[in-house]
Amino acid sequence: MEVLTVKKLYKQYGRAEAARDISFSVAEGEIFSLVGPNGAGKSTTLRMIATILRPTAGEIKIAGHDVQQESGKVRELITYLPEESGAYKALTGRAYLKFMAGLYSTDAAKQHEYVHKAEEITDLGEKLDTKIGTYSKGMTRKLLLARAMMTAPRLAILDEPTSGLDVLNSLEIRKLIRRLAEHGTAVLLSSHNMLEIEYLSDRIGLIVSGQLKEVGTAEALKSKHKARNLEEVFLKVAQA
Amino acid sequence: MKRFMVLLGKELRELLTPQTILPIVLVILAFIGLGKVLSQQSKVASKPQPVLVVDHDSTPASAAVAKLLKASNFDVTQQASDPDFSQNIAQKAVVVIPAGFGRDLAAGKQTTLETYTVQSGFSLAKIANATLLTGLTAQLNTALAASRIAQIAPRLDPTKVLAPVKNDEHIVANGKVANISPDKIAAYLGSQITFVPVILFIVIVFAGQMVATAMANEKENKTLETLLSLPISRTTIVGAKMLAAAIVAGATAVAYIYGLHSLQSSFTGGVAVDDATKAAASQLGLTLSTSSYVMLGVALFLGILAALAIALVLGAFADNIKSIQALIMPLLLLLLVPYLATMATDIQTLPGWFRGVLYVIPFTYTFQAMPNLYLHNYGLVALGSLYELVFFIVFMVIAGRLFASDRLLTLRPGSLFSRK
Repeated sequence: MEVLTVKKLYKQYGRAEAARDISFSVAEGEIFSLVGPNGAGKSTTLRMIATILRPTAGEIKIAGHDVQQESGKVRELITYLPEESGAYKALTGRAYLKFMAGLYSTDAAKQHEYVHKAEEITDLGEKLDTKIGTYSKGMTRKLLLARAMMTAPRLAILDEPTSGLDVLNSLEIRKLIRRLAEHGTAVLLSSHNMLEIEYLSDRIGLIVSGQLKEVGTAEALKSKHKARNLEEVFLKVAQA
Repeated sequence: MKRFMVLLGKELRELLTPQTILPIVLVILAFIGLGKVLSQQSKVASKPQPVLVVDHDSTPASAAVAKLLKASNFDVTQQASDPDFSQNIAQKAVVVIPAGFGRDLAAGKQTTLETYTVQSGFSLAKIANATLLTGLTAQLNTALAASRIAQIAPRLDPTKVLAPVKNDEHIVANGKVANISPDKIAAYLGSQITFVPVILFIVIVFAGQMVATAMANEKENKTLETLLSLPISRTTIVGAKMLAAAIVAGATAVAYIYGLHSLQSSFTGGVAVDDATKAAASQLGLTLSTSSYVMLGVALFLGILAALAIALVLGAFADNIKSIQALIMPLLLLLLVPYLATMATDIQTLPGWFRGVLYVIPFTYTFQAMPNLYLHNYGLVALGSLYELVFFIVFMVIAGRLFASDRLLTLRPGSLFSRK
């Protein structure tokens, strides 16, 4: 079942075209990755799906709800982890999770459930009671990812989820993303890391200069372009 | 509503950090401390000032000079000669009465007194000290002229000869008349009327920076995008930020009022305003009723809200906290212009175009609220508050639209000037 459908999406900043005629869909429990060079339009596309930017043209639907017409409803179904995101440094990790849970549900039991789940995901233990300002980059990223996962959203939008993290933290976060998808959440992510993409993704979309050039599984793309790995595929598509 | 409260709680926790509370506490302590110091100084200044009278004449006329100085609250030391003259004039006020002073006066000739005052600084207190002896000659001349009149024409009342016309001062306000000097009423009410603009100025600058910084913080800490993707409306986000800033600003205003009140009461040295002045003010209706205080509170609060709404819009242009100082400048200008204009001039006498500019700025109405309430111009205060409310709503709509559009993420300080 399709959770996200994107049809003929355009975004213009003045004369610059950041996204052009982008169409794709993501099914329940599927991990779909957008791959492309810097400035290709990945983050712009994710931001439009996350209701933060308004498309110039086109249609985005999440679980049947139009992102522009029903943005309030859509925000209840999604979570978004921006590439460069932070948390409120004056709050403790636990206070941050409680704050976020309070925004996702007004039911105390549900809030407790969310926070408990996030505590498990972060595995930060007592560190959750110290201020976020004292956290390392890896700890903050885990906290943010836990926040994004705790509500078991219909669609998780993750922009460079392992950006700036060391190998161990990255591996842990990839496992968490896999687990999220296994529980039925549709995951849309972007990354520069081809190994990560290959490991995580069910399908991949190659985006170049605001256009979605190719969509397929890693194997199908490698086979189509007679490439040994995704990097070669990416190079061939980008240079074409 | 629950979500709004959750967001409000977060905003308050973000605003009420030791870094924001400490400066407020320090300023209030500074006001109170400064008030105590000034109060002490005021008491010192009211003590008799030392003056050395070097009397080379030693006649009843020269003795009368010393007597007059004592009557004028001077601590007088008299000497027939002064071998340490050059040292003494550098330390305290000196009056030199020349030999032949009494003789010349008796002969109806003009004579001279030499006075020396020490100019050891240029503060208001020092300048006031340095001019203490200036009025001495005029007082002496009046006393001597009265004595002369009594000698020449014993039947005449010297007081009536010297001042044949007396000013029976009256003041008219709110359609009522009171028999009192306008100076006294102006001194009584002036300090209270200048009090509100000072409070408003400090609180608005503080609160404006606070709300703009809250916006800049969201961008700098990379929390804004996440916040915008949460299941809460943009209106809720804007409303929670505004209310949190308004609560902190309101609490700050109360704290500053307390601190400034302590400071202000020190200027009068704890001396109570005389009953006649209070009675005259009451007779003229120059007092504030409970409803007037409510109207003043509303005008103050709406002024703060209008400032916060402007600051929120300006804060949307901020990339980081550093850019706040520059971005907040238009708000400071909007405050400074009516602040100076209402403090220094009568708005009604200003050129029409400038009056128009002042009336567009919402803070003019808050600065004018207290004098208008004293003069029972309740309609003007109510209209001013209504304008402030409309101004606030318009800016909140602008802020709401900014938050609902891409501009919040794409606007930069430079785009204020470069966008067509």
